[in-house]
Amino acid sequence: MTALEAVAAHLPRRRVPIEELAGHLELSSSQVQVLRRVRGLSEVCRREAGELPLDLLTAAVGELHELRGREHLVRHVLYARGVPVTTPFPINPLHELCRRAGLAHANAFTVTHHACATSLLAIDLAGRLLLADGDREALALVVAGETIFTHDPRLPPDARVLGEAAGACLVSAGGRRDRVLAYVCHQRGDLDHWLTTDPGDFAERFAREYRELLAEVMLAAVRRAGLELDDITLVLPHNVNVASWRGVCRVLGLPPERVMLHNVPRVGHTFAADVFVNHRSATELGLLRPGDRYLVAAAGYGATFSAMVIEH
Amino acid sequence: MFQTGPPGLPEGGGVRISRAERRVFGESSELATDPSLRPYLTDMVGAYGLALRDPVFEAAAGHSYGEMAEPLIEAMVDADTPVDLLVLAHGIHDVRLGRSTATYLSSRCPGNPLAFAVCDQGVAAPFSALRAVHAYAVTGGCRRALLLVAEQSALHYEPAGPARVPDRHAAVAFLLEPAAGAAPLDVRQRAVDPGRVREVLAAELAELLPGGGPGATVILGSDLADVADLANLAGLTGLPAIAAADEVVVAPAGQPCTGVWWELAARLPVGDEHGRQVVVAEYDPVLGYLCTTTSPGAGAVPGPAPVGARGAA
Repeated sequence: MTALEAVAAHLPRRRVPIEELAGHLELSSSQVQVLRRVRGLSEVCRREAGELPLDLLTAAVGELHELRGREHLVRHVLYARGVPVTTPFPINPLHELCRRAGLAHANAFTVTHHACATSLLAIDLAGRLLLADGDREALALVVAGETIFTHDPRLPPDARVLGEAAGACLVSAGGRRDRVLAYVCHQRGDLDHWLTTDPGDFAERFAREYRELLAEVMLAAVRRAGLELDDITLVLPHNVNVASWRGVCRVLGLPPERVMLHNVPRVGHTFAADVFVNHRSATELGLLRPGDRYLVAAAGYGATFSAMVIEH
Repeated sequence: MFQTGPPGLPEGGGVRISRAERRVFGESSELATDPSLRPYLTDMVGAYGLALRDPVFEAAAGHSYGEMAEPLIEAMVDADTPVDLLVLAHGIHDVRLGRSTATYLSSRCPGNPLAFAVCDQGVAAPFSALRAVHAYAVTGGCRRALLLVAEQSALHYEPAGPARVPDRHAAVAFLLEPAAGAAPLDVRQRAVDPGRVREVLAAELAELLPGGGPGATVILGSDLADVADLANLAGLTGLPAIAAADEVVVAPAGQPCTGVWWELAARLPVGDEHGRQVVVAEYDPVLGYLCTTTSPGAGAVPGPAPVGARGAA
């Protein structure tokens, strides 16, 4: 059974209030007020000037203390990236990361096109690669973390406010910690503003269907794990905003306090790294006890909606 | 919707290629004229101090893997035989920068398969994609899969390092199905220093072609041929498996990522009455991956480890 052997995250120290981002993101003062008062956004993590994706990823792997001394067991390194194209060809932070981390022997590649839900796909794929290899001792490393290098004015205001952080996760095919019980993914290629040169009403359509589609995969994952929603101790969300999660909770009949929204106002949405950032926070806050079943959920433009049930 | 519980333990069998299509695209995509292209690339390359290439913008050059893959999907996958996994592998990036093209293709493909892209690994990416297909197949994650390997030839900025830019837009698609008793694909990847490529390749081929190569076709990536000095007959000394092969093909240098797959697609189906075996070997000189795959012939016996993750050699 696929298991998360260890999870780490790197949060840059710099915090930027959303008001400071307003000019660059073409947000009016009233939009900023809505983001703060209704959406629950406050400030976001941002890297220091000059730092590149490689620096964030290196820092996250550096936090993964359980990797030390086990580098030789790592067969695969998967970079779970939400944005399909982020660096000039052929620059590739992944392979320099592997060299720095003593993982140059591993097979390292990027997996993408699941937007901010790509890290869940990467965990599922990593577990299957290890199983197929047949080496019970072998490990895979999944990393996630992106920097904001451009601004897309076609996105709705709350989707323009993003944080920067990175995460790293050691995956095994037979571990006992954080065992993956189910994974569900629903892809909707029609809900993509990059589909054609005219995005049309994509934002409205995405917003209209978002809550139902995310709730659907969450419920499907719970049932696939042979559980009911009441069996789920905690939901680790993607950190888009508080209001949309309240909406998803209403669809599911899930008490909102079961969703860990701790990082929405202080870290922001960090692409595919949210999963690992929130996992680390949940562990540090003592929100996960042995035996707890928790649900990780993420979605992103493109569009992909994913959920994973894990037993701590 | 893709739904899975814990992956199943690996079953024997693996996958085989049941069909292939290949295509070149002479025209550019309309998406290459999207006004969002320039500001996106300006921001992306600016952090690395690279210059844009205005003539490439003016020519509206470039293609999108979505539009390149669609006709291949149409030609290969029908509603009666849907696929449940689609993997897109590429080297150079798409001209449609922000689109999650694999997800888009899922919506255009019978079966609405789980779809994702594998990249950032140079010429090794299609081999990793093939291993991903194998991994899903043997752990109960899919039955029928489509592998797409694509590359487009427009780079709108000065490359950030040594890299071969394709000289044409090309895509190759493979339909993969359960081997069902036939010998499955065997995919191997390992990190190898350039100075040892020839030696490691010789050992690998000795395993893949235990009979020494007669009756087999060997397809070599152009970089591999250069690095291992295999571009001429004199270079074959010490590599008896290649020297004895019925056919040795060096993939076109202008198709750095699709080249070997282009040649493989032209030689399918394998496993005919003559038991012809096709071996594909590729090397990425920048990242140092040596990759091989073999489509065993009809008479071949499945090996003990269909897909091997190998450590540094």
